[in-house]
Amino acid sequence: MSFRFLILSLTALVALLFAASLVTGVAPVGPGESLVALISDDGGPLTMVMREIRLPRAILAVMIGVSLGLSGAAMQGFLRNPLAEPGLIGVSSSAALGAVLALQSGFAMAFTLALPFAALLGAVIGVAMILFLAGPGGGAFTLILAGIALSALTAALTSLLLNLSPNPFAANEIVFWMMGSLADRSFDHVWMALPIMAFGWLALARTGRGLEALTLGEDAAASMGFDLSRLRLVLLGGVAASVGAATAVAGAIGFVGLVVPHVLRPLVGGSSSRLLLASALGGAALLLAADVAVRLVLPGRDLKLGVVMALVGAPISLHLIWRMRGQS
Amino acid sequence: MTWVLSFDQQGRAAAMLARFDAGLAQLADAVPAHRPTAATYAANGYTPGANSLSGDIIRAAGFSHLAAELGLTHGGFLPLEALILAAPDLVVVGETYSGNSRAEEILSHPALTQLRGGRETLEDRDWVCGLPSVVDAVTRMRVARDSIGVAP
Repeated sequence: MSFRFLILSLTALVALLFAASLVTGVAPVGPGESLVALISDDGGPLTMVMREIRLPRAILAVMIGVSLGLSGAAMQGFLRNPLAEPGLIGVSSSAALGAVLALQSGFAMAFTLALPFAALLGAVIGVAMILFLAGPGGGAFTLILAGIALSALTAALTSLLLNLSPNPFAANEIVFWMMGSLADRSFDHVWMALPIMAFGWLALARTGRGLEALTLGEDAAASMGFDLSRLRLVLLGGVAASVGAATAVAGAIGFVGLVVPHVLRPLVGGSSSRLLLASALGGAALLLAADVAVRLVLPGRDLKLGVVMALVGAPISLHLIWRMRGQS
Repeated sequence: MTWVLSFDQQGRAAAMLARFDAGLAQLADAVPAHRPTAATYAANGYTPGANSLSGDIIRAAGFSHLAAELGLTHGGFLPLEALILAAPDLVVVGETYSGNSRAEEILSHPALTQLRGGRETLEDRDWVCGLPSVVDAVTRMRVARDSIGVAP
């Protein structure tokens, strides 16, 4: 399959699932009628539902899917480990801790981008710890063990903060921060997340050639003139910004960054830079599909995205671990 | 000592009850023919049913209860989408607690704040218990109802 054909098919898939996401909801309204109400403002409540509830939800699914798919592909390229994924190695839960800290301390109200910025800081600490503990030469199992410890620590601190909150509803939201959801989000969340996410996408897009060189080994990449410490810094900033902003508005959604590069890697012929673009689109498609699925399975009940993603992703990670076991 | 105090309070209670009954009777006399729809909406999209004190207050104020129209007689979770599509004339939301929660964020969702109908904030203490102050809550709701205007 040519790369151009792959990208076109993925784009078409994203467009199709975007439309499916727009017409999925509890309201008993036909798809045609909903789309007409979205485009032409009839002043009725259906237009309000389409424009203020379903449209931002679908847009956020695309943005977050792109962020997670890109981050997974980039981290896997850099660490040369197919299990490197923001959710699995504790980066998402570090970002969630940053977001919860900002929300409960009131820092989130300090300025417009304070919430995603705080999540970015949490993610920076998470990614930095992972790269420090399990960077090049750290080995696959060091990475997973570091991720388990980091996830456990940040999840515990997040739960503690939410339990200490004066708000009686906060403690119930541990589930949201651990499993993620796009229910009842609005354009406020889109505008809040977009600037920081876009910065992350641009940074990750620039890592393509460096990751390509790295597939030949660190020494080869260095001899080709690639500055590995600079690549590490760009990667850290890119992953932290995109995962941080995504987690700040939708909670930690795992396995997207694991499943998508895993499925697409054979289709791009193992090229790391092509995998970045393909994984961005694939991530958007997967998150849109998961968000449609949670609404079809339990309409109006806010089933968490993490449930669907883990059902899909956990078997794949078990399979990957099994394969790595054979190698070592 | 105790019984002396309770004797005094019984007199006050009787007066309070009389005022309460008079207030309710006055409101009942003036129930308008047209009933706009009112919905109560709380954290996580919870809406108390029509068979509740708040349901009675809403009816006494001259509103039709949205939860009853939608079949939620004993209360339940109403998705935001369903609330917006039902387009109630008035949405009553409670005051939010301090400290952030995503559960309460739904009450400031742009789709809800831009709803064409009115919006009234009642504190829980105004209508969570059957107190004499319930008449005040009904009166406030009646004022809100009159400000909506009588649609044909």
